[in-house]
Amino acid sequence: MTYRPEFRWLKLALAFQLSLGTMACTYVNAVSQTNLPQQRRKVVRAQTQRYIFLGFNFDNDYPYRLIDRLKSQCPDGRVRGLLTKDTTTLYFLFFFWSREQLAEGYCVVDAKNDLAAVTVASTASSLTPEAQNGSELDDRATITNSVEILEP
Amino acid sequence: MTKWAALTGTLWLLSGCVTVHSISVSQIPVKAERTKLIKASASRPILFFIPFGTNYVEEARQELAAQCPHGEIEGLVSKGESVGYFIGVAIARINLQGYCVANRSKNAKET
Repeated sequence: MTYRPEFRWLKLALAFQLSLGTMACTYVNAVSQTNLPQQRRKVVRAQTQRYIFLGFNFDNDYPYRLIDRLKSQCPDGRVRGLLTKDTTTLYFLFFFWSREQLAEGYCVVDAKNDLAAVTVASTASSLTPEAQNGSELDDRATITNSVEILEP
Repeated sequence: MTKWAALTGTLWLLSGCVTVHSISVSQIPVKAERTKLIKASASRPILFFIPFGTNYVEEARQELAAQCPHGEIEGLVSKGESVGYFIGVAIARINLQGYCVANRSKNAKET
């Protein structure tokens, strides 16, 4: 096969075609999944992204922001059943791309902590005016009754 | 001609190769709770280096969660892999496997 000058342009055209064809393509790099809780109603989700040009990336601290963002969505509970996904999106082949990390989990509030909060709230609301102004015995009776009703 | 034949033969031999990209294992429950093993997987084709979405990961998790609606899923093994079939044809797959532990965490309550 003899070399022809137009082969060079063919290679360039193929490379350009490949870069156009893979533009905005997203590839999954890594996936992890932790134990899933029993209660799975409230979903919390966080995402971080870093655009990289010509491979210049000077730190990898941006995924740590996922933790703060998840905590802010679940301030009084625990985030469990976490699915973490690390992906790469190509924008122009090897010149410009982005790395994204997605974390999705479930916010689970421990019933004991929630029970204590409800007990305090119900006690405050159930105190009669006489109890609020008067004897300590009435207060203790009201509080005891509230706790007995609410505890499992 | 010989070079092209050798290249084609090599690519043909490499078809069906499976590559693991990521793997993770979560806390494994006690032996008495490892009674019900559940599995789920989802995949997407990658044709000529063009993928068709990454939502298959969430689909696999939903499929796994549906098999254990009233229990906790522990001992999760998640494996991300790709299978190459021929030039430019591959499949990206996620496999999830875990134990469904029922009647756990009665004190847990969601917001």
